[in-house]
Amino acid sequence: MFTVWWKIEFWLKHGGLFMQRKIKTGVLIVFAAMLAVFGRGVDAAWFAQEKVDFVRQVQPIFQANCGGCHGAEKQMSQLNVLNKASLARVVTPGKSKESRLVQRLLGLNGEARMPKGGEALSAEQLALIERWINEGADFPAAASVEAKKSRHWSLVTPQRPATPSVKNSSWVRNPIDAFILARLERENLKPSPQADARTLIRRLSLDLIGLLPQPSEVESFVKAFGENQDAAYNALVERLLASPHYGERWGRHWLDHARYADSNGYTIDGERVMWPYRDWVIQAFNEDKPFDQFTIEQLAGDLLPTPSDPRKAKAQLVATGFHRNTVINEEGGVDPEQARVEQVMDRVQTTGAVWLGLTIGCAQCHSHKFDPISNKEYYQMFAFFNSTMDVNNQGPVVSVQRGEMFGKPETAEPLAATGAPVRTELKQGEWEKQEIARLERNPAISAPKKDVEWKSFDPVKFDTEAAGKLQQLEDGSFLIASNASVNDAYRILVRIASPRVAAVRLRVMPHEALPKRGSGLAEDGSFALSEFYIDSEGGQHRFSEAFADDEQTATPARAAADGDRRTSWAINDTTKPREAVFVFAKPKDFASRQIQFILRHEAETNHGIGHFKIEVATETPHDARGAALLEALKLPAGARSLEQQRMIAAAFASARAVREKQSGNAVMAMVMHDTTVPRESYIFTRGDFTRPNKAAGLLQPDVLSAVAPTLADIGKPRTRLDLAKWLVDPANPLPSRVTMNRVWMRYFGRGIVETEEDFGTQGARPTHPELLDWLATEFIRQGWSLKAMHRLIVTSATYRQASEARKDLSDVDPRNLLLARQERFRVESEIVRDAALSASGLLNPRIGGPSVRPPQPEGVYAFTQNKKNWTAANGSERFRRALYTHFFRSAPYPLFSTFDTPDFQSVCTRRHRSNTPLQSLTLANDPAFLEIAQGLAARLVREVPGEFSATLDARLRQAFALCLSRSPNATELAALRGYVDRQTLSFADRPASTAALANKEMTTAGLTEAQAAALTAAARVLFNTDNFITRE
Amino acid sequence: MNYRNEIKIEGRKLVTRRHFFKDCGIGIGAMALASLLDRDLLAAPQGTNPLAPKAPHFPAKAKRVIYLFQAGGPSQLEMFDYKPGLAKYNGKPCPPELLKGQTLAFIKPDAALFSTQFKFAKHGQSGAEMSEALMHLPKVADDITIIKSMMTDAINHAPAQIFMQTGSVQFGRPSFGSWVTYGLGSESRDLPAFVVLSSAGGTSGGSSLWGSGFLPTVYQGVPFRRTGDPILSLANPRGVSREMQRDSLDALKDLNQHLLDKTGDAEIATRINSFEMAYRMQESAPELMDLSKESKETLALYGAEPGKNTYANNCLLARRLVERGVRFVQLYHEAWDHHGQVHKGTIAQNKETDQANTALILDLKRRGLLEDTIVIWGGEFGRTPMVQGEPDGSNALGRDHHNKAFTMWVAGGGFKPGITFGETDEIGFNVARDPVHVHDLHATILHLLGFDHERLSYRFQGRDFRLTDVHGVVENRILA
Repeated sequence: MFTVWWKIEFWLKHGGLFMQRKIKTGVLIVFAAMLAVFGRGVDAAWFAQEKVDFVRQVQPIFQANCGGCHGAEKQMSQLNVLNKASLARVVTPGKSKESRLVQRLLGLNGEARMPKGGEALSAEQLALIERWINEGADFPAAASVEAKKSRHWSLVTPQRPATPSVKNSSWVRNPIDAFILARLERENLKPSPQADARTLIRRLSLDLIGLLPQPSEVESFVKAFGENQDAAYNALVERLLASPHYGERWGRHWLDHARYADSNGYTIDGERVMWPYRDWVIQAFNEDKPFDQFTIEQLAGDLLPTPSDPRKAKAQLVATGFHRNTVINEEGGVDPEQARVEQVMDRVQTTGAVWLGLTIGCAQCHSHKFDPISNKEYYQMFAFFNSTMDVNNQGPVVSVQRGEMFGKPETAEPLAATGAPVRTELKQGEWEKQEIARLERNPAISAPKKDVEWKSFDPVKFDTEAAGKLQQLEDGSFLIASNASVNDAYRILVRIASPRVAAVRLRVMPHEALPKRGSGLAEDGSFALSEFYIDSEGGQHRFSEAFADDEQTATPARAAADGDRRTSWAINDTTKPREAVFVFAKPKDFASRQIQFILRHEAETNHGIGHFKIEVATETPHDARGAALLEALKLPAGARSLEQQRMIAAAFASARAVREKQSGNAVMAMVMHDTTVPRESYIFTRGDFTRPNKAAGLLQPDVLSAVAPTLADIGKPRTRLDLAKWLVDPANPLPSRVTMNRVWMRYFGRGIVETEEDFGTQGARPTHPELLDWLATEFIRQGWSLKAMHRLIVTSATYRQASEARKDLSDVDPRNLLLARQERFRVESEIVRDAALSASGLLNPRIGGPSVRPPQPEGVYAFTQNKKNWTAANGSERFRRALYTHFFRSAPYPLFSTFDTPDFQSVCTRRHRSNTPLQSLTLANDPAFLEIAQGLAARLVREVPGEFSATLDARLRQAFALCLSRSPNATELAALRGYVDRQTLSFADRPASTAALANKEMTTAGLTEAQAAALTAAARVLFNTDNFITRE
Repeated sequence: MNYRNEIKIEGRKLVTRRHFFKDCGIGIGAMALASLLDRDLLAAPQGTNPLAPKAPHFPAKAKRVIYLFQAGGPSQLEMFDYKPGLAKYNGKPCPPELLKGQTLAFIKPDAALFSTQFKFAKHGQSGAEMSEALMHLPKVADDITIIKSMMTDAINHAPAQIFMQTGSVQFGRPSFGSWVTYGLGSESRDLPAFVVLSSAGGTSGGSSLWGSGFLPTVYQGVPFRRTGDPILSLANPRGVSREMQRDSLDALKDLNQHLLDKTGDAEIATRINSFEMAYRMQESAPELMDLSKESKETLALYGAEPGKNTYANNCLLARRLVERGVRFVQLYHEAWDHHGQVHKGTIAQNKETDQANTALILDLKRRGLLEDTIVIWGGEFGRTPMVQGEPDGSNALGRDHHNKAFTMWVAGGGFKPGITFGETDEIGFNVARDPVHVHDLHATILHLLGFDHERLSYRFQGRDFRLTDVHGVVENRILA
């Protein structure tokens, strides 16, 4: 019954058209009568002729009426009606009325009729389609049309769009404004007025350099702005872009992309030296290194020709630290190959996220579900990074001096204020005292003079961190059979007969398989052992002392036990067997009897030990040479024999040489190099590194086929350099758009494409597609100059708008997507700190260098396995900018985490912006923050001298000027003044209560303790205002 | 395309705070801020506060979780998984066919099998098998669900802990507690929704174990410390009394209010609210940590001693936290890595934990909290049936890490009490019946909390991520 009614309804609905056409043929009445009576059976009878020919009769209907949206070019809702498989999804053979195709063509179920926006199909056409379905919906496979891979908007190379015309052309300062205004005018919206001068300078300062403007700067800008707006504004922009703090501000954004941190991550989370790379980033921004070059150096600086300028040569290597920022697992028992593969995968994902805005990582286990990235292509990208030399925590390094990335290497001797070098070299008298103390602590000196029994052991497992090959020889010694990395570390896991270990003897022996038949891997047969220790029962057990029968002056054996990877043990004669003995301060008991010896070689490049044997002793052996030295040192200088004097002089020279290595400003920066023989790359089945799919064939490095340009075959494997050049090829549609979108995001709180990390089909569409393309093309036209683009954006009228909420917008554009006003947002965690430092005047503006440790609250490491060394810096180093704060991944500086800094385990291109009670507690009570509030109060007293009560208003005004770049209004001033008065009384009531807030500088200037504390309390309140931590 | 409409819809989806003010009929300028602040956090409509309580996908059996993480990897063979077969083969090398493809962290694959020295007995009506190392847990044998067939992917501490807590061996994913908090919001107006407690050593996984990964940081766990302020920066600066802090907040509120009037940015109202909640937290957190208010009987039940930094105290704190509406309490006790002397170590750690575990179940039960609170007990993996060290030695009778089969127990919140689920093979090397992978456990717990684990997701870098990655099957057979 339903069937009948449905049919009737159908014909009534569509009959009009049908009738008009059929009238001519004169069969209408007959037809209508039959229809009314027989319903379904009738039409079949009526049209019963031959079977419908799909290709001849039906497909052309589809092609003409549906093909535009559901054909080869475009497949809206993933439907291609010309394709057999795709059409089958909407057709139920034999049941036309149940077929979704027919239902949609009729506009049933409350859904829009298809073709959407076009003319309805004629009744004949519909009838034909129905018949075809009812006859079984035959679709010859040969007629099936495959979808042409349509290109998602972001994959089409941007073309420079014409600047749109607008009605209110006087508002337009540059093309950006035309795009924004044209859109607003379409919605009949007006842009907001320009923000006032004070807001503008605060906004520009925070955006471009991340510091607050000083009140004098504000005042002179306000004055100049009053005289000539554009001149004053442009001059300010130029000044800020030229500031060295610009590189810190924008470099910090980039460091998020680079997942920069000062530690390795995972359990051990040991410190790493990464700051030279940070210096490089800051400098690159400051010198406005073109973004294409910036890209190439970071991804492939090691593969570029070496420039003649040694600074540039060094810099392009340090730049490759970008991809050495991956996390490293130093835990015992880690599979080095697994760790290496995870790092390579991280590099692929990071490269995709940073330059392409694509979620390449999705294609690790299977072809990307939404974007044109196949599983195979993922591993072709993987292949670019698969031949890098580093394996887990072993990899190439270069020596970098402090300041070197800025073109000003600092010599070992720091300069005093006068410019003269400060002599900090070791004095002999001082050294002798230290040396006596050291030797007296040395258990090997006091140990009885007898031979101890050295025992070898049964190795359980031996390998190297970089997956080189160790081979055990018959005599129990180890020979490195193939070297996998220039700074490899060896791991020998053994079972010891007795749990007790007092000392370990490391014997190095020449071998004919080694260069110059020496004992090391260096070309001259030498080696340099930077560290030797035992890893067992979840901890590192370091020796307290070491001595050897051969050592060079600058490389004594004890340097391999000092925990400093820059110093090492090396010998004079590598053609003879030599030995070093390492002793524990007290013999250790290893209950598990499983201990792992670790030999590290980081001090020099390619200086691994080649052939060695390890033995253990349960008793401490005697160090005769050390004992003799101690004896000599204890004698008054005049009583020493010639031999003794010679011995002391040699030891002193050695101590100085070691110290020079330690105190030198040079550090080893982690960089990239490729292995000489590339590793083979295969698809890993389901992303599992243990399941290379060899059947699918060996893969060569290649780029994504869906992203232009295609790389020509060069007859040899492509390298990271080819990848980098492809990324910055002007034909590549993504990096310029992705980068400009992120720059835009920093200025307006949101990208033109909101999902800045996903330019794929699942990402958001751009709110202003033409503007994005204009910016992307302009960026390339400006020679990839970021500063040029910053200048353009911040001088636009769009940027200069006020950010106040507008009633008329709250309905139409509640999220401010169309930018009829500026955005108001909380600054990032680093800027929370930096703003407070600049307001208080405590800021130490020094650029670059090693990370520092400002004070942090107690208890940060209560939950981590390895306590970190965190001795708060003294003096002005406490007040460096936040980006220099030492960053431990396992326990970041609490202020940062509280204000949404991620832990940099992986790439971060956009931070969250939360607003939580923990932030309130941090702002109010973090001791480091309180110290800065004290600094601000002291600055107020310094800058506005006078009697407390009489100057209070002026001081509070100054506080507003320093923190908020404006004056308080009467209500604000009254509120704050009343507060200070009440707090002064409260503090005065309880004299002991002022200690934490008052300080000497203020009381010396004549304030009472209570007044000083109350002024600090006022500074604290100002720091806690929303205004202070918000860029308006 | 009707862009204007699209924008509107976008805006509604987000339900901006501005909408909230409008919808509540409060003009931004004239808004009575005080009433907003006094309003219970719970009353704020969804969307205005990311921690507002949210309804899960379907009605839930459980509302909150206490996770007793036994870090280091306790030996199932010493406590739950009784293997007479192991006694039979004691000292013999492990059959090579078992070892195919098996990765071991430290020991040689041909290490000898090693039988436990503990005696086992059946307990409760359910006849749950436990060793004599557990002196208290038998009292609640009929209240807990023992899963002997747990499996995990990783064999090193940090990756395995991260896997257990985030469903991925790689760092950077949201933790279990973050997912639950993200899904359910908070029911506490003056304590964090997700609290972390730790006894014994620090964890291998570090802060990523309770981190929010790519979820907003409001969902990350807040560690409550054992000494000093329970929460970092909780206490006012020395000398600033509670009254003076109130005065400070009032002054601050005046300034913020002024700005709110001027800019109309509702984010400012949220910030004012945050300061108020912080102020309440200053009072509630120390009160929470003060165990001296607990009855003597309760303290004795747990073996807790006010002022000490013990696992027992943390168990009692866990109960106090869930009573106060905290959604997810994560305990860590990193002490179970018994590469040597597993017998002695098991005794020692049970001395620290067994009574408190048992007390927590008993205490939750008598307070009516057990029925909608899930308690989870277990490590990141178990330990090998093979010995680490010499089987005949006196000093090294330990076990290595083992991921193929280990035991966890769960209780409350809709789990079927008094059953033992899953079986291992004769020597306890592999799961022989009813394997429960970590992903399955996650899926099952999320199910009890009212979530379809495949739908509790968050889009990041173009992909919908979830706790169970692309795996996980709800194990219905362990549900009541």
